[in-house]
Amino acid sequence: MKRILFIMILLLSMAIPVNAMEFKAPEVPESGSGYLTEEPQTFSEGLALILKEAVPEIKPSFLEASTICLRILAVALLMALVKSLPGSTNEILHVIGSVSIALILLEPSNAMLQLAVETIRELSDYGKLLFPVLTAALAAQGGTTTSGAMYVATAAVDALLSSLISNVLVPMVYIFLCLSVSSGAVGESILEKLKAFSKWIVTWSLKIILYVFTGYLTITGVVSGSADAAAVKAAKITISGVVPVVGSIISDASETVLVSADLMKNAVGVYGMLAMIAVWIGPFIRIGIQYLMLKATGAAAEMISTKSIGQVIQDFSTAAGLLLAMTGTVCLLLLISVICFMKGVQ
Amino acid sequence: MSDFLKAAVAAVITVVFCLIVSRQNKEMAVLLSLLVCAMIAALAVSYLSPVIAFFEELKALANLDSDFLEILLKSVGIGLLAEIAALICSDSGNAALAKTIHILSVGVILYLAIPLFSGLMELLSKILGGA
Repeated sequence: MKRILFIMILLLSMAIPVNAMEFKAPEVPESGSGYLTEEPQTFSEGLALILKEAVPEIKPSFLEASTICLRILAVALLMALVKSLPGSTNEILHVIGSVSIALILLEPSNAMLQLAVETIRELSDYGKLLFPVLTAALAAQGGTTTSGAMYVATAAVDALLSSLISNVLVPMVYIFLCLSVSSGAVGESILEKLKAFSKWIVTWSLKIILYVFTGYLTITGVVSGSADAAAVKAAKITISGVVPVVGSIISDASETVLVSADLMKNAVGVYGMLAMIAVWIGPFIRIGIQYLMLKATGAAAEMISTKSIGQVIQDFSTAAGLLLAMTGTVCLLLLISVICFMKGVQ
Repeated sequence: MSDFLKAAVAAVITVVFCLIVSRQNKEMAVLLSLLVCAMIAALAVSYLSPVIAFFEELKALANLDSDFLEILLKSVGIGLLAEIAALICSDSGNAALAKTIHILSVGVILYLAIPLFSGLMELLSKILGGA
């Protein structure tokens, strides 16, 4: 009776459907789907595909930035006419010149700021979907300690950085721009100092977060990676030693399972990295071209017009540079995390 | 270039004449100076007209708002005129008038620039409201 019952239970357990665990990267967000149109086989192939799709974006972005720069140049040329005037008339015309430049540049700069915030939000949201998959894949490969530690760090830093950028750094860029226009118009040195301070806060916040995060990941990778590798090795030796006859076969089979998990994890990681680059590349091109064009226009305006007008334009280009730094930092942070997950248990 | 040379020579000759005339008749010296200033200003305006035409081209190319450019051009014009008028007043010994002209020009330029300031305020409130 006992035997029949045992056989029945065994047969029932065999009837339960079982699937191999599948790890799949989340779909590319809508903003990046235009750049990653097909599923690439390798990272370099995917990167080439993204670049190929991104190159045509340069021309419209360039035309948009050129129109803005032509408007600025018109104001700078007019201000060149009054460059030699002495006294109060010159001062008031400088105020008007700075206000005009602010009127021309504030709207596109605001659009770029919103674009940067949106990109950071999308990258962060994609990371929230990708990292649990990578964590599960890394855990399946034997990196239970590493995956947990890295997931906690990545999620915490990503949340901190996104929140910091939206609530502190982006308002700081607005303050920087307002101070720039005011100091261009009035020429007070205290405004110049405040402007430099707001820029310093933005750059150092980003640098500190990136340094701390990469440092933490390096230490976590070394410490918990070694612990996980030792645990996997110990498990293999135990299996091959404890289970008689077939122990070494089970141990070899587990090695195959681990290698498969590693392959799946790497495929998910590569696709995830490409998806992140696809989300980031469009805004990078738009903001980057505006940054370069404003830099060139600022230099030209400083030459033909007054130094203060040129400085206001340069400050707007600096703000675009700060936005590039923000989006770049978030993207780089997530890419480093994916690479650390891919490195896994060595 | 030749026009500029003529204007420069005329200015120097006028200075010499004014110095001679001012000993007997100061009013005549001021009038002479005013006349030559007006002639040189007219010459400058004739040179500025192609510059303004270039601005019109730039305006079309850059989709620049006409009202915006008009305000800027008027402000610059007032600034230049005020400076010339104030210098003539100073030369004729009327420093108070020169100062008043400066104050007037600043007032008029600020009055003209009100749409620019209100545009900036509107834009800022839109941005801050949306942020």
